[in-house]
Amino acid sequence: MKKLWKTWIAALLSVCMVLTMLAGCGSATGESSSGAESSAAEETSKEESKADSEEEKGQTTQLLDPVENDGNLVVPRSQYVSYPVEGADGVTLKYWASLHGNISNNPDTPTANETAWAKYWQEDTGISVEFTHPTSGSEDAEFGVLIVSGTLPDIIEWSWTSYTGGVVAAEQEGVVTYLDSYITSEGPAADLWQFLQDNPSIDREIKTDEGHYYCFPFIRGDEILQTTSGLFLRSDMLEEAGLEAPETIGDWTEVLTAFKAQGATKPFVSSNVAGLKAAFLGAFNVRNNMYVQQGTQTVAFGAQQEGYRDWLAQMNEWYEAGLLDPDIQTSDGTVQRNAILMGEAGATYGSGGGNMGSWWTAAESEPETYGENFGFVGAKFPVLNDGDTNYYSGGQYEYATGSKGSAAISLDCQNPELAAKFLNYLYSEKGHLMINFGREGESYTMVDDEPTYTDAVMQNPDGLSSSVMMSYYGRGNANGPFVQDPGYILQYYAKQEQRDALELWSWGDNPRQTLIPPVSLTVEESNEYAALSTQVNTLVDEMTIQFLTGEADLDTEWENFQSQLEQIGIGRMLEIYQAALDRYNAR
Amino acid sequence: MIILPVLIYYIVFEYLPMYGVVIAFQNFSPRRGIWGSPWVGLQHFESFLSGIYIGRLIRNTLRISLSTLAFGFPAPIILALLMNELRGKAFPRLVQTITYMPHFISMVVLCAMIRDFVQEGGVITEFFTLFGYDGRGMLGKQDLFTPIYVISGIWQGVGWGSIVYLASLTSIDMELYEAARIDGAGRWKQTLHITLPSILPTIIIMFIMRMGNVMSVGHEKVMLLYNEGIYEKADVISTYVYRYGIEQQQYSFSAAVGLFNSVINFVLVIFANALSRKVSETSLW
Repeated sequence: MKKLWKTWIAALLSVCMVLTMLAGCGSATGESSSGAESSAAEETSKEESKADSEEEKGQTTQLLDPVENDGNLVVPRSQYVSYPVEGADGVTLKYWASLHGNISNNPDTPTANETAWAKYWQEDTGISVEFTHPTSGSEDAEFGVLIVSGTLPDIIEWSWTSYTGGVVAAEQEGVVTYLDSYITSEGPAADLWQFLQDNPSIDREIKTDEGHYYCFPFIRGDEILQTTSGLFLRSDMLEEAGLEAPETIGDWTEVLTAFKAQGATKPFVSSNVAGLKAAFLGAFNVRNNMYVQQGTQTVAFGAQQEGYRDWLAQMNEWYEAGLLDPDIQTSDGTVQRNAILMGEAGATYGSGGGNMGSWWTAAESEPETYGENFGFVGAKFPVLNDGDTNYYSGGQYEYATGSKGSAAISLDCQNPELAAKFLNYLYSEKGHLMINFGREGESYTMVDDEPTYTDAVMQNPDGLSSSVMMSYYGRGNANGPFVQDPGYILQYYAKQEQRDALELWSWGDNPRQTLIPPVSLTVEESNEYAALSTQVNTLVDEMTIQFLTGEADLDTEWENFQSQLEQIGIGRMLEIYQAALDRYNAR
Repeated sequence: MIILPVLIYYIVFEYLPMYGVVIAFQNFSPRRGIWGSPWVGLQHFESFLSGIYIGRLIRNTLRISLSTLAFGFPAPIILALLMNELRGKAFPRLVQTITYMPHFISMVVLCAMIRDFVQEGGVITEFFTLFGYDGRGMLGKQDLFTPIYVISGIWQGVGWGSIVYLASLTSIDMELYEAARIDGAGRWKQTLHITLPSILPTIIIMFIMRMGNVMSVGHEKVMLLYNEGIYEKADVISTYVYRYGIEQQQYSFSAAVGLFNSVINFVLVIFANALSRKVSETSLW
């Protein structure tokens, strides 16, 4: 299959290339000199004859050969569109985007306009922009105001799949324009085109069901960026118990029991029930909410599964044995943090940076309170039996639909081509490095071919934190219309244990198989779904906590719970998602 | 003439925006605006009233609201009467300041305090444990939600609510008390026969206006206090609408439920007003 596909791509590329040259069009392909073009044109006839051969000799032209990367993502590697762009004088594009806390926390940068990356971006492309931002914390409300208020900015960063009525409605209402004519081999977004050619799975994720492009997407460019939350334990407590990091549910029972024996009052703490689901549901081959059954293209709903029942039984057993937080239903982030720091809990589910990293730093600053040996160690998402594979925990699609970082060009934009070229830059080889790491020599240097942050970032002389400085020089640790490079996180995570945890949390591409891809619902479907899902979520949330605490009895009330789900219309919800998934697969 | 600015204010800022309520009958989309969104008739009302939780939501809303009315309404009156009996200057001021204080604490902070007090090991939980309570977090128990909500509401609002009664107390003619004392009435009798009847019109007006809020239990405080485990007794119309309408951006649905509540509240006000006119000859109109 792969071979055949490669051949087709190669053939397609050659045809495109040949057409380009015949048309003599050099508008967006300024990398090659006119001399190279004419010499390429002389070879046209030769190339035509072997257009279907896989070993295409395309070096003389601007298009790159297809590459294989073992199913991994191919990072941006082309430089088709020539920068700086000519004829952009006197134009200033208006750019609306959420402001990352790391930028607003820096006294020198009240808006993105003052950041180094914004300057680099404008210098390199020769296009000037002006950033405006919503007030942090009320992005949703201000986005609502933005779209009802007359003229829209030229470029808007948002989480477009969550637009009321979906992307199709956004296009009909003129908030986004389709980019089909730009994302082509010779269009103003040719470098994004190349990136999508290299990564056809992402190409599918970012289109509508009808096959339209609508945004410059935020892409999480590595598996370790797709699962940044997971299980971790207090390593000092684990050592005291003489145990290893647990791998199966049985191991977990043992470890938590040992923690309890050490005096922990809530051996496993979680900020809410959702944390418990994220941590342990996958071991029972179930995901929360809608998911795809592994090995099929069938949509399933978590709380309908026998695995969900087994998970509830296990959680109830732990709850009764005092291995979970007795006040799980009223827990929150503060409870979780304090319990972990004070040793009331020995294990939890949280993020590698914001939880694991910052709690550790807090504990280290007061060793007399929290102990000299205070430390964390990550643990894999558990499985039921030794040797099982977990297909149902963590993971994420590359196209980060939940993040408000994908940029669209609005219908009010007077210079859409210019806007497209401006955004396209970040998907070119140079732009990719720039937006992730900043400028070579200033914010990073190449060490063994890896961009490595300089002391200006990691040991800032003005005492600003490394994450603030990373966001000053680039957007690598935030979001935006670019391909996020894993290089930042490995440097941002100061402890080896954090980096190890990232590796542990990732079950490779297995969890991807059970995630619902970035499907899109029609307006009618999303309205209907919203009405049903509020009732279903209410029922599931309520019954889950009651089964968990034993207030409702699994043996007697599970059937009733199931029939209530049916009664509300879980069947219709599954139908809606199944149809959306089928459309996605047909893209 | 002098009333004109006020009139204009009310027309521009209070009455004109009301046309927005038509989105309850549409599938409203912000970009299309009120005139461009498609009309759907009563669809949102139907979907609200046919949901499986409608009974529970109305029940919970009424329980919490009526309990607040039953216990929360008399509390400021009693406080005002008690303060009226205080002599001296410094002490009543101190009492006033202390009772007003919670009103000025933001709801989020206030609820965080409540949660702290009633969690496992919290002050209030520990106190009741002395009397045989099992010591678990009180917000985890569904039957305790209404009492916590109502009592904390009194704590929060009693001082502020008493202001209007204190104001009407000052307008009572002192000679009435003198005459009563000469007739041999004690403090209790004076309160019963002079003070209460004098502020009764205020009480009735406040009560009628309060009836206009029976269906509206604000989502803010409930959301800050409840959790999934106690939905059965704590989930009210406004929180459900919040989870559905706002989180899922179903603006029209939220507007429909809001309109539904307003209509019921309106009917209750009219009813209370008519009743009061019959019984006590005091009424809003």
